[in-house]
Amino acid sequence: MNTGFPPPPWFAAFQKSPLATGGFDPAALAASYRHLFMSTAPAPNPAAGTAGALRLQRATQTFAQLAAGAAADAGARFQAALASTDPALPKITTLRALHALWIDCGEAAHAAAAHSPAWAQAQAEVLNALVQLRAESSGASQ
Amino acid sequence: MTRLAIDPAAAAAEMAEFSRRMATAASTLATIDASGEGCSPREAVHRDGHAVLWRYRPAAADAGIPPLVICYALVNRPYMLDLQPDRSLIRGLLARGLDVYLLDWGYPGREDFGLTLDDYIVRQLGGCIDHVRHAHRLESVNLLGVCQGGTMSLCHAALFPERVRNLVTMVTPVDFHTQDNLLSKWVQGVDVDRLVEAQGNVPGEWLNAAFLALMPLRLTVGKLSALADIADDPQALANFLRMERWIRDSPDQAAAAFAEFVRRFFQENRLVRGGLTIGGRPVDLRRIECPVFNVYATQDHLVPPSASRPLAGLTSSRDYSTFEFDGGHIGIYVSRSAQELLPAAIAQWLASR
Repeated sequence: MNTGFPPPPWFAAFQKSPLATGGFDPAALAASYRHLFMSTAPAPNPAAGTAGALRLQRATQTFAQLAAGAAADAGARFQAALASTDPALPKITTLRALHALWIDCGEAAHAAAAHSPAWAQAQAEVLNALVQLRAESSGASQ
Repeated sequence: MTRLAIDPAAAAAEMAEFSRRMATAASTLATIDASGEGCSPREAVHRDGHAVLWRYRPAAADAGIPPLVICYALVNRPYMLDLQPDRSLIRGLLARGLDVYLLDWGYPGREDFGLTLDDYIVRQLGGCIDHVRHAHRLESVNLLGVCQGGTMSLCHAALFPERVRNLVTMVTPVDFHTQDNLLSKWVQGVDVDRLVEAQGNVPGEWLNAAFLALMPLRLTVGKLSALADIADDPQALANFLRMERWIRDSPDQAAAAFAEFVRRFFQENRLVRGGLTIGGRPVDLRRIECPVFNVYATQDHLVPPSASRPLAGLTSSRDYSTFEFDGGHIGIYVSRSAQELLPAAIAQWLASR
């Protein structure tokens, strides 16, 4: 959604960060993935190879970019909603109303992103990559 | 110019009050016992593995309606239908003289890895229906399917139309490829066969996470912050806790059946496109000739109405009717308006057939 507002500073910083540019250490990621995503999975075996870990790195990078985009969109919608001069819209006089508006804007941004083919593809790829990593680890530990 | 008109002093007072309320809610929640599965008396009359068929006795004079077998989904626990005395579809049906049976699939264990849809739909559901038929000396029974249980009920009715007298489907996905079905969009790219091969049974927590991700803010932060509204109402807090317990109480999914369901229904949409087989038997919805009552919720974000409505043109029933409930996927069972409308609508529909 183009609201005419510049992206927030944190988003610009994110776009330069290792998360967005792919500066991960695959071995470190593979060693920590089970704590992030799959607590019941066995610890990965470094000797099993890093194909699954590299795939997971790429998948999470792609999905994180989309998620960050949705978050930025949510922020932009929130700014636009607050700046609206539509006389039909009520003033925001309580923190509760502000919070409700934030949720509405966040859900609208999420819906716009989540229904896109890119989102579905990226999310599925994260899961498929995790499965590959788990399969490699399980196979290598046998 | 901005719509923001918050007075700092008022905001500080609002935060203080919010904090007080949340602390009160947390204290009260810690004292509430939300254990138990359902509130109506019942007895187990049939078992097959983890699956149990529960019988509930009518609370009013027998309405003379053939018994109703309720087939719930695999992905959640069926006590949602009997959550508490004032939020119970089952109670509402019993109060109208119906003889109700509930198929509880139980909690699959590691040994159930290989359970297929044939096991669930033909053997277990069929076994329950046969038990009720024999117990009541009937050729056929009334069948009510909920959500995925409705999809399974449709398959069973198509495979064995002679066993089903009347069919009720509630918030049941039929067409899995409609544009507003977000969950369906998300699973299209998942390699489900590889997933179950690597993981085995699919943890219930994974499905919970997926369901929450459909509306990540409203279903987490939004819902929790609303606790402040009911902080001083122990009854409302108990209701909240019961719901939350049910939401988190998701069984693991038997690997083979999960993969089958995702592949054949979500990804290939075979119930609508054709070519669906269960245990090698073709499933053709046109074999369903009994009366069908299709109930769905207009604001259902999990099974959008667009996924349920297509049932209209898919069976051979000459007595097809619908009930549109103004609410969501869960509200259709626990909201006050649902208690007032649905048991009566279902009982009346069954009574006239």
